[in-house]
Amino acid sequence: MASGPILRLKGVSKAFRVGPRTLGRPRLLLRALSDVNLEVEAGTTLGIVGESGCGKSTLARIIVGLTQPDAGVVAYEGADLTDLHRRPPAVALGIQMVFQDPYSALNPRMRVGDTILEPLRVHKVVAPQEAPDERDRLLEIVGLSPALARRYPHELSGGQRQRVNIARALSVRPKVIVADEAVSSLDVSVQGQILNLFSDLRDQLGLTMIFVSHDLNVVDHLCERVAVMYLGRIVEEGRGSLLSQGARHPYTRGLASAVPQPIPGRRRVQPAIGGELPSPTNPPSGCVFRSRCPDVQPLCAEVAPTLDPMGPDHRAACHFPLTLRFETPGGRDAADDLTVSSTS
Amino acid sequence: MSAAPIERPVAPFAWLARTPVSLRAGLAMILLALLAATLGPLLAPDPLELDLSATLQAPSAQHWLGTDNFGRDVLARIISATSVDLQFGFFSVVPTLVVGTALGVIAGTNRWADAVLMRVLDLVVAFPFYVLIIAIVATLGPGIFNMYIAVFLVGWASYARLVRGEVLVVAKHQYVEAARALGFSPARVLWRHVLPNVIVQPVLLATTNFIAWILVGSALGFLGLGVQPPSPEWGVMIGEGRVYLYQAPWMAIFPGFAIFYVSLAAILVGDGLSDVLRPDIA
Amino acid sequence: MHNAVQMDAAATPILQVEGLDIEYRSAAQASVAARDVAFSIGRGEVFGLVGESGSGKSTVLRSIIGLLHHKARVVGGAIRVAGQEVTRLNSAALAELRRRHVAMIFQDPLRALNPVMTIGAQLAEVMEAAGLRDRAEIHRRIVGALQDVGLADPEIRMRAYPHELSGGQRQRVAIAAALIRSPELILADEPTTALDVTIQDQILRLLYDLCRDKGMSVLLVTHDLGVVAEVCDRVGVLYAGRLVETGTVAQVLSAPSHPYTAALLASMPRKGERQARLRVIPGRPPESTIDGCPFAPRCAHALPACSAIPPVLAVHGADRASACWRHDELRERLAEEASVG
Repeated sequence: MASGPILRLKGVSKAFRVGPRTLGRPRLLLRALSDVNLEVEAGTTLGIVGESGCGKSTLARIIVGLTQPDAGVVAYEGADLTDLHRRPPAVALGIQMVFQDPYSALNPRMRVGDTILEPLRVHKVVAPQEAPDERDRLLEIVGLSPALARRYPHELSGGQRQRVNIARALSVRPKVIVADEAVSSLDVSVQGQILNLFSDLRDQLGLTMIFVSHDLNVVDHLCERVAVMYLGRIVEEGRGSLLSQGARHPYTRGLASAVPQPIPGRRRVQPAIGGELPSPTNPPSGCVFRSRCPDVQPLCAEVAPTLDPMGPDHRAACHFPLTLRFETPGGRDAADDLTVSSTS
Repeated sequence: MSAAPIERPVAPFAWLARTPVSLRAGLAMILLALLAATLGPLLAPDPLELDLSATLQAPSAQHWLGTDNFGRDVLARIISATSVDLQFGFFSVVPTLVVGTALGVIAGTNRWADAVLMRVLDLVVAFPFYVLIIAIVATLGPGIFNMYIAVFLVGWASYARLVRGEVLVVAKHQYVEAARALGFSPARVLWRHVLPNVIVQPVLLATTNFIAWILVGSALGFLGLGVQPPSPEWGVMIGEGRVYLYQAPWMAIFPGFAIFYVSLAAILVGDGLSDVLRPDIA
Repeated sequence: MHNAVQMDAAATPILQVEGLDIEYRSAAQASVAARDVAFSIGRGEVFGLVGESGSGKSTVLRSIIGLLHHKARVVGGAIRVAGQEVTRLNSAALAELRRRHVAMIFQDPLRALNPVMTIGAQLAEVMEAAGLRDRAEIHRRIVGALQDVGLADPEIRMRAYPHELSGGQRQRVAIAAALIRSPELILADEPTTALDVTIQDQILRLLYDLCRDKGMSVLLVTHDLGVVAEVCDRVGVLYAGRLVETGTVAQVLSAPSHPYTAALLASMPRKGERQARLRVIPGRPPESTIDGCPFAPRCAHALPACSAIPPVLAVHGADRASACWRHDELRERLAEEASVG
């Protein structure tokens, strides 16, 4: 299935000016992304996980062209998409986004049919007289009845709206779909339906998918590859299974064991990771995770670790990576209780 | 796969039946006022004709709404004033609404335009409202056209400020981002996705302003800067009637009813429009 | 499980809910928000009430301290807090109840705290309302409470405004405000839903430890069965306003006795289970009241009778109840279904 990277990010960085404005620009510099390198193979599904403020949404926005990176290169099928103003329009349509909030992602003033027709007509995806048929076909692909085309978004349920969002993204026949927290506002029983839809679409249409989420269970389920982000950096990257076993970065393992699992009798005494996220306007020196890391050493404050190979298809940015050990799949081993620092 | 059946309106005005009752009622009331303004003067007596033998007469079969201190027929004057007042309401509201909304949208989406516009706006709102209008009219000279210019120069500000704030809110919604991600032109994003979602507030403001401007016009008339006294105008009539409130209350009360009628119509239209413009709230 | 819980459960429960019916009334019609809900919480017990949005879980929680939406009414049943019937209390008595026995923790700590008052002033207000007048004592208790919830530098934090704290710190303050009067029952409405997963982990553990130490009971409303597994002793599952099953967390999560619970567990993506399609529940919850079992239209095991007659919440063995006509015959299949995932 893999046929070379369809999307490549090299040295992508982005900073925002934040804080009070007196005269001119605000003083504080928030480094949302620092030197992010990433390759996505065609036809694969990459999960990007991390907590709020880790830069995962900024990364998604840069990939789809909603935010201009300060530095670095975004290459898609060999074309350079870095400069938003010089993105070749036809090529750029190949990357589409499914947004987080199914309520706010649809124009409340437009019937859902028109929401899907609009890109078909603007970009002349099909001949004008075929557009209504194409709209109905798209609605059916995402599991909706074409009769819903006349409804307004507020007349649909959350799951139906998210299906409309997906149909709209598919309308311009993209090769890459970036889904930013696309199921996090849905109820559990509906969330499963949308996740199945994503995996069906991936298989039927051969889509490449980038699934940005804070929900590790969802990413673990859906994604073949995963990148873990912390404070604007990728700290570990590898096969999706590393979320359940084989993590080498202490943050990855702590994050994974902090996710509540519906399995009784696994209550732990201590939280998986203590402390709070440091301010992204003033990140720690050296390794950004050191202020919360249970295994911190003096070197961590001095030198920032680089994302180094940890084995086949596996990279992690840690001076003292965790050693591999046997872990019961789906469960938490005793070692989790060691990954503990004091509560804040 | 078959195309979804698309219901076509059967009768040409079938869409009207689906609009809210308040909108239809308000429009009907305004239509009636327009009819009165156009046909009324042909049927009613001359609003300027003095009859000093029949001053301050109570409503009677001859003078349905009584006469004023110069013996002029109050009903005739109210009808004759209708076109002046409706015109003033319309010309003070529509240009300010259109220009103010457009400027607000631009300010809400462009940082440089925003910086410039907000300074100009500060300048406009820094002066007391009436002082500014009076100053402008005084500079240009009295008269109804100059009054429109003064109203326009001041009136756009409230719409621009309101719309700018709404745009800043709407632009954060993901459907605006989604439109950008789909490669739509900025003009299309503004016209199809931003504007329809910010238009409710300025339109509602316009329906209430419609009345406020009629009152401003009356105040200017009272000051001798707008409609000049012999020709009838509701506000001026109320001003004249004020003096005779105890002897001849009809002089002030009936023009007051006229203003009340038009404001009710405007409010009904505004209420109905807000339902039509916001299907998600209706 | 916890022996202490079982011993305490013998004493008067801190909360008893019996046959609770709540209706939403709009101009057009009345709709059922909760129907025949019954559960009890023992002293020192953490009880989870789970359900999806619209299941009525927050409505049930709010009814306990009379904080229902103005269109919602308790139309039947009983709620007893520490043995006292509360559904017909007047507002003064409700205020007394909230002061003496019950504290609440909300989902969004930013909205639960007053943005223009310092943290210290807000905590002081809580204690003054409880009748404490001694300034030095109040100060001492605030510092102690902030330390209890794991906030460093309490003397400095006291002078901070809510917006100067992170989401996790704000929720710690909200917990401090709830615990400072040593209530017997804490009502927590999705207290960690707005937080990041590592902070959620910290807050859940904090809440659990504090309640254990101080012997307080907790009613935890959540949509997340994972959260239930982490902190609750017993759990009730709500669907469309009806309690479909109750039991200990171990029982309900490993051997559910209602098809909804089993299907919900099966539809959750889980750690270490990859690539397979999820087994989803078709359709979505009913929007209006329906005859019979509300889950019947989506239930893989429904019989014609299920859509006709609503099942009652029937007790099966110790501390276990289920509202399913086919409970006995399905028992083994449901356990299997839930574990397949």
